[in-house]
Amino acid sequence: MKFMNRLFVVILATLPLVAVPGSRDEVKRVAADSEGQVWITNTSGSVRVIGWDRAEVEVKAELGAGVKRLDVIEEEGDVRIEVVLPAFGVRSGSADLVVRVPQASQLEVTVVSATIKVSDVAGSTRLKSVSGDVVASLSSREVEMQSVSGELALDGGGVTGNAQLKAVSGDVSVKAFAGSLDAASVSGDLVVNMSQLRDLRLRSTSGDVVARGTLQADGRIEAESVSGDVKLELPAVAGFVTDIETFSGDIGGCFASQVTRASEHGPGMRLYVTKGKGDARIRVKSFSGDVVFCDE
Amino acid sequence: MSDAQESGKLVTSLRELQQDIPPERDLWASIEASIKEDVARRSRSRLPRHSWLLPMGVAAATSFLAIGLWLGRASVDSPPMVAQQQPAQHVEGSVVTAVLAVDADYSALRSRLEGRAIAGLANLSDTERQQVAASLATIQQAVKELETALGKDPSNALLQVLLVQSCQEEMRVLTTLERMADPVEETSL
Repeated sequence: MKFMNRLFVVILATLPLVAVPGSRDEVKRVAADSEGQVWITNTSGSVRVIGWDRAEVEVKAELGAGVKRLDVIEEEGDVRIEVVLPAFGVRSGSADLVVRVPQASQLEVTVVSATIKVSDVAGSTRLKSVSGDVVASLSSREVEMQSVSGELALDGGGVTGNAQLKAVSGDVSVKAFAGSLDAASVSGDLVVNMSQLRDLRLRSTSGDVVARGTLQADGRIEAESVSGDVKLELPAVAGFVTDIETFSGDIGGCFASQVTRASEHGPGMRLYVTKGKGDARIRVKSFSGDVVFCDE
Repeated sequence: MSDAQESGKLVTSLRELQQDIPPERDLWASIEASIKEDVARRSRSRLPRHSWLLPMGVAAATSFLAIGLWLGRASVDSPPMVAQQQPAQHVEGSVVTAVLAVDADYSALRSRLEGRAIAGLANLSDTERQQVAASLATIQQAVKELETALGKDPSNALLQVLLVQSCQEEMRVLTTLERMADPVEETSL
């Protein structure tokens, strides 16, 4: 009877090893709509997505020992790629995916601690990570990137579109993007180098904010920070109006001589400047951070 | 005696009565006194019953004015800025701040989210957990500093705007951390 009990325990203990295979490589291909949706989910490891000119999706995967299986499911031209972990026991399987998708695909990648790298995708792109970095070189008109502790980096390829980048402790950087951008981080820095600035909204709590780019005639720039510094270098194609205010920080830059006190008796500095017809608007609010503004 | 009575005829119409008989005494004095007393009685009885109308009306007008200002500011774009222009008073900021301060639902939601957010941090490594916890502490410290500054300068529009934004940012972070409990399903920030 004792032997039977021990045998039963041994069988139970080895069941997970039987159910979850070891590390292995897999390659899967499915036909896809050239403008269809592609969803990718992975817990840890990495996801690399590259756009190509074929109407198919190819997945090359290095699956770690803890991964149960890789699902690549096509349905009416849309493709769902999922790294499946065991439903019970330790859910720590790691997988490295290299995925090629039609360039105009609408892409959505969701990971936990995996890094995401995307290039040459032109459809709307949504990239979400908890702790991994997210790096994208895109020509998409609609971009959404999110991370909690990872960094976000977007190279917009000069495309005019809408982008939304939000982090908590990670830095956010954007370059070669035009159009509308909404970026936020709590403690990370925001660094924006945009070719054309039309609609820009930057928010930070303790991180610094830096924005450079040509301010369009009807541009709207808003930057808010609690304790981080704000630096704006915005050559303007036409006139602009500034509404810059800080509670206990300083205001400097090209118009430092026009800075006034916010109130006669209390703290605070303000900079109201109108240049040209004043169509573009620049609005900066800061609590204790310094603000530097130049239009050259 | 009227003509009709004098002649013994039956009076069939008021016109047949004599029209120019003077009253035995002046009736107007008592009529006037009665009217004045009636007016005074009505005034006495009405005043206590409707005395709340005036302050209520003032309060309502003030409320409507405040709401109107708030809605007006919220619905229209900020006015064109000029160099000489005085800074706009952000009425919406004060209203929202007041709402945030007194809204028990907001406090309850925040507490609930904070509890779940701590659970969500378990999905991170030690280093990442420390980074995110530090970020959360940073934003909460910012809220405290803004509240302290507002306590000294309650009408400061800049502080009101920054406080509202910071509270919104804190909610965004807490919501994100809460959703990390099942991150592959949902990690919207």
